[in-house]
Amino acid sequence: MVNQIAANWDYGPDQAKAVAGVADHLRRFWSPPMFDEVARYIATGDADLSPIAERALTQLIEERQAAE
Amino acid sequence: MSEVYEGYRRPDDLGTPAIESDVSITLMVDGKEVSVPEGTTVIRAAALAGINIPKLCATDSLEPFGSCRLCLVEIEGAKGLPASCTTEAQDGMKVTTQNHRLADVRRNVMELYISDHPLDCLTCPTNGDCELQDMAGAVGLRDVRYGYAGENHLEAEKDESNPYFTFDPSKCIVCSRCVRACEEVQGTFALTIDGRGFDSKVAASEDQPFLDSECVSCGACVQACPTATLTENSLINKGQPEHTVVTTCAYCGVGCSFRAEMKGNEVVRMLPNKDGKANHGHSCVKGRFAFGYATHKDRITTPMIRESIHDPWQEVSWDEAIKFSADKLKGIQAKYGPGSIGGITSSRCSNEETYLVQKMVRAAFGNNNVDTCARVCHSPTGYGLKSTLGESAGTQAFDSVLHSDVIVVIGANPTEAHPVFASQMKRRLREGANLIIADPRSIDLVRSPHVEADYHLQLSPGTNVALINAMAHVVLSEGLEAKAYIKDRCELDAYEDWRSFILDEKNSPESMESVTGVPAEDVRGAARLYATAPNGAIYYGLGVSEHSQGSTMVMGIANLAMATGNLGREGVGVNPLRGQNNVQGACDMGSFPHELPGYRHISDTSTRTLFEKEWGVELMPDPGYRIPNMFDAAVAGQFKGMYVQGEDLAQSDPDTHHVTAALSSLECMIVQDLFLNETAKFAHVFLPGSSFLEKNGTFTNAERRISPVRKVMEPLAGYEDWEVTQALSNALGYPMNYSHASEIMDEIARLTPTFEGVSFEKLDRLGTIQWPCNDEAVEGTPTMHVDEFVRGKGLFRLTPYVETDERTTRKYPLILTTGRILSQYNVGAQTRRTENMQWHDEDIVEIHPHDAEQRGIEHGDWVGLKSRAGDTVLRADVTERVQPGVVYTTFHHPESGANVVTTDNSDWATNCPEYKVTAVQAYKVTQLSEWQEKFEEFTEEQLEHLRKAKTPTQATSV
Repeated sequence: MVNQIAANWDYGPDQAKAVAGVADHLRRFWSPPMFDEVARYIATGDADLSPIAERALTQLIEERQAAE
Repeated sequence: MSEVYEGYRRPDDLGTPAIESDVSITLMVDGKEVSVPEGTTVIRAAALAGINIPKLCATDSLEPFGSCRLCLVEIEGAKGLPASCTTEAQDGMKVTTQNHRLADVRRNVMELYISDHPLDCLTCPTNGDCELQDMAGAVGLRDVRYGYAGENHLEAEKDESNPYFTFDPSKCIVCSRCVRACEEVQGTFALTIDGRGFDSKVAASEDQPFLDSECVSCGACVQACPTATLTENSLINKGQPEHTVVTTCAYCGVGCSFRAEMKGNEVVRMLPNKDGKANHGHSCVKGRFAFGYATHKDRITTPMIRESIHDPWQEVSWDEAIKFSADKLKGIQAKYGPGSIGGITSSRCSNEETYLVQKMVRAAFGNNNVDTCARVCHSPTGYGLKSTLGESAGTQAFDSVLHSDVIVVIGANPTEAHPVFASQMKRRLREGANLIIADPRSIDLVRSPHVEADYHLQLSPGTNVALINAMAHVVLSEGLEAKAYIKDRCELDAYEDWRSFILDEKNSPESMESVTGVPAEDVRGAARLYATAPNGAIYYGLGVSEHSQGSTMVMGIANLAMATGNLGREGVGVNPLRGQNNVQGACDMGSFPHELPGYRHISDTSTRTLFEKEWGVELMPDPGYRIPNMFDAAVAGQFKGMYVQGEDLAQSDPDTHHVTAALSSLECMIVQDLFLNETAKFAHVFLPGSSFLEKNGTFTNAERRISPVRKVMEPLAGYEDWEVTQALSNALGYPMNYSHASEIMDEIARLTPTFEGVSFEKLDRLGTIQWPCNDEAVEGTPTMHVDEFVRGKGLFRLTPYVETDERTTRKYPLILTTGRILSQYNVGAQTRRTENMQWHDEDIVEIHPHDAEQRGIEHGDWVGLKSRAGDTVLRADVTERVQPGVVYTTFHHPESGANVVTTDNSDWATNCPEYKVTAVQAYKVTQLSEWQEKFEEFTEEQLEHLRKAKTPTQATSV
């Protein structure tokens, strides 16, 4: 799903803008348990994420960890 | 709050339709001065002066016809006796409506009518409500000199083929009101006057029985008939009503206003309300006739509980059922955590009910795990319109279409799914508006009597965004954009980004032709037509939203409308046609897990504080689960309890295998519904629901119109739905103490700026209110974004076309797309329990002759449909309505298993399922699918559990 979100934000040369867009989208619409689940998925090392999706998720997971 | 009850009387009829004119003229009718808008007929002017001229062929829902010769008048200085219905009133005119000469002529006319009419008034179904009878009385007819020995029509045979009305030609006076209603009001042109002179008679299609004809059973002809020629069967069986309650239809998002005509607690008939602002006295076969489900024998009216879904049901008292539910939910939360339960609101329920469910979830469950069935239909509308225009709603009133010059219909099938609005749209098209249709199928609007689309952009399913970008490319590359409008009303940086994105050659119609399958020249022609229209309006449906890029497409539509300046006045706009009666309202009421009522994000502290103060509880700041997330979490063992009000997830949601796996894993499923629907078969608690006839509240239709729903009969199970939610909340320990639905609306108004001025009292006064309704718009807002967009400046969002993952392969070479049919509604729980089954008693699969031939499939054969999610079997309709490579079906019958085939693919932004694109293979088979056989077994098991339900041991109140 997050790859699909990233694909829809991935337009033009400004990748940082796309990452911010994906991160904001996830922040606004994802429930906390879904972040926990995706964090576990990333931790397996087998996550098949697009670069934008991965950057956005990493940013959000760090954000959540900092807030805890 | 008192209900609006009136003693029964026929609605006023002023003879001819109202005329709009800024010029007023004054005339004298029988010495009485009356001023009317220029263009008004004499008969209407007289009626406005309180003088009723006798009439038969005239009625104010139809254009004047001038055939019955009963409404003749004398006009000073004019020759002869002109028909007042076809004579335009003039300034200074002096009209006489009654004198000896007129009385003699009228009596003679009536005598001729009655000479060929049965004199069976006492046993006639319309005795007491017959215009012919009234006119005989009005003209003083006392004698018929001609006898019945001559040729007559008295033995003409009845046509009782239609389940809802009877055609008795022996009572016909050939006034043509039925024929004209079919043409002018409904726009189907199914009726005609066959023959000439004395042999003239009303005929359906090629003189066929009504049921076999092109008649769509809207009932406009029945309503228009001034005699007992066309009469509702319910009226024939029950007799005349004795009181009326004005209420709102519970079917589609048009939200027609109806007069429920009652005899005690029983509905005699549903008569479309002439004052209804969404329907103007019209209706469809569902709203007018298909109300029998409310008293169907399948209604469950006693609460039931059970420990396991494989146990028989046990009937219990309300108290017991509520306590059982609350204990279960509390137990689950204690064991699995506060986030392990959630609730689902329904677009079939009222604003007050959905508001209360989401409030209970947030306040009593203590989480934000609330979602609504709009998740699977119009959630992309909310996302797309909010982010571009600033409000998650359509921009216009339905009447706006009467000012449109070019109408664009994208992924919507109004004649099937929104028939009353379709009639209004067709009226405008007959007046000369142009029509562009973007749809993979040849829907009826593409070509129907007196309507033909200028462009049918028959795109491949799943390529909407490619098409809308190509249309925008034409607008920009040919300099057709509304430069001043954009400069004045939109964010310019975002516009420049969008402009350079759209102007990329890869978005040109020529580049996109291989993607969409639509000839570039047609895209260019359509885009030019829309962009250069004085008023261009876009109407769209689930063919836009139910895609992997549903939200992107909604934004693409908004972009195109902004770029051409087609927002903010009558005749234009972006108009989502909502599927169910209260999709708009359910979304408005905070049913989504990330939003509080009024589309305010749950993370916004000031909004949350407002609700916390009113509700006296702390709210969680993070979004909860959406429906698909709930299913995933349930399968993963993290989500264990659900409260579902009025929604049938097991039938309506995609990928049935996944849905039923999730539902089977729950420890407590509470279903509140009228019937043991598919979801209830997985339930542990069944709480009987109340139909729209049994409760008070409001629905909000697709044009943001809040309309009253009135209790016309007592709830069969004893309680309105909101009372049951309240009882559950109280049992969970969160107190609610509403004594009437109006108090819930008062709370909504206190907390929601767009509803600030709404109250039941104001609804009683105004009839309906289109939100926003507040100090700035005291009586509501028909057209949004008039001077500026709700978000301030309009925002162009980039809409790159991303091909869906659901692609055809050698294994699955066809695309399945799904839709609706006129006679059935959504999961069919209501309409399958009516005579509408006579039109559609099973879902069928449409397949193009080329694809059918390749597979050896003939019309009527059983066809297996297999996708990566599952397979099912349906009967084939070999038709060119679908294009090669595309198959189509509906999902109104649970045993069809249409959603066994649809997948978990969904819209990237909202998770709205991609119902419109599923890669499948089709093949000829001779037996049902394995899923269907298991479905039959499971259904039989559950019906047996229902039969074993025990009688309650005690009867107590909630």
